[in-house]
Amino acid sequence: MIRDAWLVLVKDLRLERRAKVGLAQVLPFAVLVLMLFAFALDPDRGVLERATPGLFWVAVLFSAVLTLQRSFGVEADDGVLEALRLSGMSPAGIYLGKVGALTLQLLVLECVLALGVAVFYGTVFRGIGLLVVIAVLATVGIAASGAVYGALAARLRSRDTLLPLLMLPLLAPVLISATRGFEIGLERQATEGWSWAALLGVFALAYLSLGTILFRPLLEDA
Amino acid sequence: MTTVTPSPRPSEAPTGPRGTGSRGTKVLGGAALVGLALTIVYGLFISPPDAQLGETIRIIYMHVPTVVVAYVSFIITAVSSAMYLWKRTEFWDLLGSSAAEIGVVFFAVTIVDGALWGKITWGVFWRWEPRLTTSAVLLLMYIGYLAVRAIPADTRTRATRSAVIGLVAVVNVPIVHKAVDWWRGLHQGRTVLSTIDPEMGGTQLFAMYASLATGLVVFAWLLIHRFRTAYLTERAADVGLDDAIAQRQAEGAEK
Amino acid sequence: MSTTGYIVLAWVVTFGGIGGYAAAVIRRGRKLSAQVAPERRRWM
Repeated sequence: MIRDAWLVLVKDLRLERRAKVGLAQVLPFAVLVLMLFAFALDPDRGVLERATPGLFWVAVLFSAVLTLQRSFGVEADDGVLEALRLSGMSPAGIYLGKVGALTLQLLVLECVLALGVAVFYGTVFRGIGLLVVIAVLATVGIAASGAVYGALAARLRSRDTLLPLLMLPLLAPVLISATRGFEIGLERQATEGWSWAALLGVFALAYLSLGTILFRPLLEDA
Repeated sequence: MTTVTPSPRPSEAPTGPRGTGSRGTKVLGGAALVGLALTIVYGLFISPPDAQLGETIRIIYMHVPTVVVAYVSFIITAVSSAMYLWKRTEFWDLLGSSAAEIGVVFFAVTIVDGALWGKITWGVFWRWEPRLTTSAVLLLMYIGYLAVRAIPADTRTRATRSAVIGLVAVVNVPIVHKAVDWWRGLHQGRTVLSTIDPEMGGTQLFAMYASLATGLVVFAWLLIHRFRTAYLTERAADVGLDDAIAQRQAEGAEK
Repeated sequence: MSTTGYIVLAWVVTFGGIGGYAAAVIRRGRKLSAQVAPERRRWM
């Protein structure tokens, strides 16, 4: 299973390196979202500063949905999902590999967004430890739950409208927890922030476990 | 060209139940009506206004049963989803989807009742308080369940997709609850349920229990009817399929 | 709208919403039942 996961992870990352959709499209989109928020919320009145953690994570969520659609869309269109199913690889392995690739892509995105936020909103990053832990846990949770729904919607023509509808309510607790955690982290009150990190950890663990079990029936039937 | 004789239509075979009722549902229905009468009489008239909530307790008499029924529905959907993925029988698929639909209806009513309560108590229809916020998120998740269910697909694909969503959604319920509670629970003065006097007694307690019991009886009644309707939908689809096959075979036999 | 108005509205929405849904289910059940041969109408 681990070997299968590794194979799928490498394949996905290689695909991304060649197509560069994440780099050329999702990343600019994310930066654009940050700019839109600045246009919508007057930069001079301190609203942007106070809202930075939330805006950051909203941008991450939107970008994650796009990345997810891309990750499964390409495979569905080219019959790769069929090939994976018939290849005899363990579904759990395929799932974990996909989650891994998604996590890495999203983490890279978040680093660039952090830079964007520092530049556009003048954020100063304190409490880095808490911030990193929260970001990693939140990202794993997004990838783990996203991969399940992504596989479910992969062969649907309505996947582009369906995936956001499914993902965003599901990720509400991630948004809440990550934002609150970031707020606390940026103000260096790291002690209270760890409960949010713990909740994110629970989310990630719950969906990793669930996804590992559910991926086989999804691969076969959906 | 020959004509094809269609399969015998039920109007020529008057035996068998018409509609989804049965003696069991009639008993449940009767009990529900009695319960409804009691609820209305006690909830709206006999029970006094609450010491803390005033007249708004009468909305709580509606709000609590609907949210309880919604949660029961979603638990049934979750269990049915797991059972379907294990046993792969139509029963679990139909049970889960029926319960999910009923849950969405009751949950939507819950939110409306909560908003109306809020309008009286807080002056606004919405406040980001834990229970309403959690309800809104959960409602959207189960609307997603129904949206996926509505996508045309073969039975097994649709059932698998629904089951997956049913499980993913239910796992999220406690997490959403916790997150929203930590987030908003500390900031609010009066949430919907925290203001209910725990020593509510007498006719108020009776009205609450009557309403709750009625809600559960109505739920059982609805679930049976909805399940049977779902079952009939599948059988009706089979009929269409059988007819089409028969037609093809008849055409083939002539050549 | 007065307090009483909102309370009445809540009860109307609750009964109306659930009642309307119930009516729709029953109606659909009857319609489908007519399309299916009698021996296949019940799960049990």
